Amino acid sequence: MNLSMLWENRPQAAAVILFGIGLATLLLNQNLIRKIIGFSFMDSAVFLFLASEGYIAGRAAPIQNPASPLPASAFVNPIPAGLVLTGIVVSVSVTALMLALTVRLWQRYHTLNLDEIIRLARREEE
Amino acid sequence: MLWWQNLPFLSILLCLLASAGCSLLPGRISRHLARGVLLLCILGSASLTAGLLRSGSGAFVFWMGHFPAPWGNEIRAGVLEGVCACLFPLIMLCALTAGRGALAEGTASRRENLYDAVCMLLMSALLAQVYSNDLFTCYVFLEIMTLSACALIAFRNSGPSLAAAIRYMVLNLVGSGLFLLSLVLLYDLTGHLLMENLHDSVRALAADGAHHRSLTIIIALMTVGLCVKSALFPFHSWVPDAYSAGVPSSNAILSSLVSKGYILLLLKVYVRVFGWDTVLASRVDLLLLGFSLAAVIYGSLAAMRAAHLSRMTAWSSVAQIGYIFLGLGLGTGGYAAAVFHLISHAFAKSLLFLSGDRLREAGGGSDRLADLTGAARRDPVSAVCWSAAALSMVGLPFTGGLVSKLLLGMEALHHSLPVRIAVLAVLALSTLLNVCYFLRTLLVLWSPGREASPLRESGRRLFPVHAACGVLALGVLGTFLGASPLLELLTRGLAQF
Amino acid sequence: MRNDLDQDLRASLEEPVPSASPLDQAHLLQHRSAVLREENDLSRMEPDALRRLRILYRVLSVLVACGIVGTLLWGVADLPAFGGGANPTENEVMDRYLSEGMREGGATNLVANMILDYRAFDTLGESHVLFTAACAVLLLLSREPERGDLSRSVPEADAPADPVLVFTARVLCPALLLFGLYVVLNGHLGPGGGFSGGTVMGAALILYRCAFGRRRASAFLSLRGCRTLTGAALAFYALSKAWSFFTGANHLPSGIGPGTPGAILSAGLILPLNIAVGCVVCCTMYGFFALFEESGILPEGDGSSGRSRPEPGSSRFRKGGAEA
Repeated sequence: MNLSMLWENRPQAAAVILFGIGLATLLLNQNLIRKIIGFSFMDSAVFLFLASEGYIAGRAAPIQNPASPLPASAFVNPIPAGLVLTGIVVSVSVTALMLALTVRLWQRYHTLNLDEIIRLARREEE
Repeated sequence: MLWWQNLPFLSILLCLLASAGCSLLPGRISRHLARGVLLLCILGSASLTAGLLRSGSGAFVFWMGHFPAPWGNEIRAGVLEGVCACLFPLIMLCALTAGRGALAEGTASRRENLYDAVCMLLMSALLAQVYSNDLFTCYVFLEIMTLSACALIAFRNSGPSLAAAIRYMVLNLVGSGLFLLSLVLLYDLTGHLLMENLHDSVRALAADGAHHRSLTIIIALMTVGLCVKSALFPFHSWVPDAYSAGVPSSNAILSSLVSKGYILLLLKVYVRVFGWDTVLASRVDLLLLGFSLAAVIYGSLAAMRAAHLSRMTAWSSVAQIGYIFLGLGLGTGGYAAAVFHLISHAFAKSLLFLSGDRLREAGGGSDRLADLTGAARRDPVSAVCWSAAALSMVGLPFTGGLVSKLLLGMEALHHSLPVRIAVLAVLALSTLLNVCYFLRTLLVLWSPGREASPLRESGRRLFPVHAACGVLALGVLGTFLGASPLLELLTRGLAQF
Repeated sequence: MRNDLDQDLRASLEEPVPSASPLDQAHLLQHRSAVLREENDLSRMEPDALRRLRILYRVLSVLVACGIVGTLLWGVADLPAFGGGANPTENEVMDRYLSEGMREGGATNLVANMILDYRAFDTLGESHVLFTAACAVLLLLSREPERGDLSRSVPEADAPADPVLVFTARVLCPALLLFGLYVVLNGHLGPGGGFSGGTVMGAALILYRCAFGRRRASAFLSLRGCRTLTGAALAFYALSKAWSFFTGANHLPSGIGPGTPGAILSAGLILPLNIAVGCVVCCTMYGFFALFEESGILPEGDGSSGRSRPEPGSSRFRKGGAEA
């Protein structure tokens, strides 16, 4: 592995490690709230990745001056910003839905442990 | 621009508008609104396909806004898109019509209008998935599909359905995460989101040999992400619970439409973004072949062990998804088989779920196989429909299932010896297993059982259910009788996909 | 399984949590019921095989996560350099957004041009993602019959809120609402837009509801009102964009120009769309909160109020858990 390149791309590397932490949180914890936290981690990691993609050293945020327009070389890439916005909205929606499901499951089974919930649901079904 | 070229975008927007309308209207009006919009979508897509065939000009691109390709969004429609856009609303219409009765009785909260709203959102997302020519648009509508499918599973609001919904969400969100990550990586490498431009950039990268490593990772991540979402074998754990706990219309929609939407997206990614050569170079095709062959065997074995009709159908769905991915894994020649099986399975599986629910009623509210003895005598129409779908699953003559199995087998002959042997052996074995469990169920259904108890519903209430099942059964038959024109249509569509 | 559970318990006890918060109550209740259930089910303890399977699953998940991270790091080392000026992402697409965006879209905020004009279809889908989630949460959490307002069945007397909260809300709510409105209306001129401004306004409404109770909040904006407003805003969004897509694809004049960049009434559809998006986001955020609050964290059948009250046995349980 080219380590100097990895160091060069350290924001992306950090994002990828965060993604892994989120995934591990999700897989290892049976507690639903912790699973949701794991998702938020994964999503945020992707946003960090995107944000670092849009960055160009020494350039400003893409807000144009109407009186004296600046050339394109003055601004960072606006596309990742738009993509992150979309991603955040999706993440919020998903979190809300997961929390709503969790509330309903908790009201029903008085537990947040997914294994336990599945076992109880199976028993109820029979 | 010809008038019918506006139809794809109109059908997407109509569904979006209808979803906002349905959420505000009471249930008895919203159901008519939803069905009317679906009917309009079917008609629109049919005229689109007819227009495309008559003009013979091939696929066309439609700007979503005032800006051309790499700057604005755009959608693209060809014959294959037209066929899929006819099929999806048709199946949803049948599912909504047939499942309406069960919807009203099986739920704690009577929020049928929200069910319709969610269905309309799902439909718009499916249509956008079919037509979109931009990978990021696909991601956005993919999430609409995920969320609305979760709402459909959880609609009954009972414990098992909620548990199934959360398991569905957990796996699917991992899938979405992987897909988004691969999309972001791909954007980093190419600087584009539009499929044509992506294709050119990927081509250039592959020719250079630059970034070969990241490209392989991207293809693998995208494939695995979409496999997770469409419940291919090692990621299928939510399927049986979700399908046995949900309302029948949700089951039909999920198994026949949602998973198909993801598969169509994967096909689109392979054809329009990467190109099969690049996929071959990354060796991801082996992953697909392995997963799909395992899915076919594992799903069939598990279906044999199932004691409930709904669980058996769900497990057979796991196996059938394997067939479709098998077609994808076989490469360009297998695409037609995959899409053909996608269509024939969409008809047969929704029919199995919808008529299976009627049989459950006939079996006294239980769908344990033991309780279904003689159910065919009490509801012959549903039993005939169910049997037709089951025969299609097995792959007997006069059903679409036979054609897709033949296509898969014939395509496997063009491959290397190990692949050929593995595919043919798995096809034979799975057909044998299918015969075992579907035939057993058919015997149970049609054997003379306990004395017939009269059905609770009157014939008038049952008529929409039977009509919808009949339409689907005609579809099962039609995919066999019209196999060669349909195949020609699909080949033409794939050529311009 | 027992050991895991005890560990979980201990971990949850070590966390410094305020004892009255509903979530905390939820946690404690959960653990207690799990323990009780486990004790009742002693005869049905998991066999060794299952336990081994669980360990295998944990090891496998760690391996999978590490594998994915390793592969991705391997890929990251292969990506174009961070912050460099000549990466593939800096291409003609980005150039046109930056250099022509203000002339073609009319907004000085170039990101707003991109998401609401060039790539408006994505953003249309994005607002519908939020709408899908709102529908799904409503399906899950509302227990009311179809007709009528959700706020009607709510108990008359809300517990009097903390005076500090009331005072803070009195000061902050108008300021937050105004600020949110500014962010929405200024979205085409500077940083901001419908999504961020809508979130701020939603937060203001949530604060209002926390401080003054749901009856006064519902009088201001009921859930029914939220739904109507969301539906209307989405319909407006879809229809106006339908017009712009239709005219764009058919190469017709849309009749909506970019105006004078920098003026408040400029940038064509971007300002109205920002307002529509702001409405959708604000109503959805507030609606989420209201639904979650009304559904309560208490189990089904326990108390019709739906609002969680401190469980009397919980503090004792905490002590007991710590001793064990």
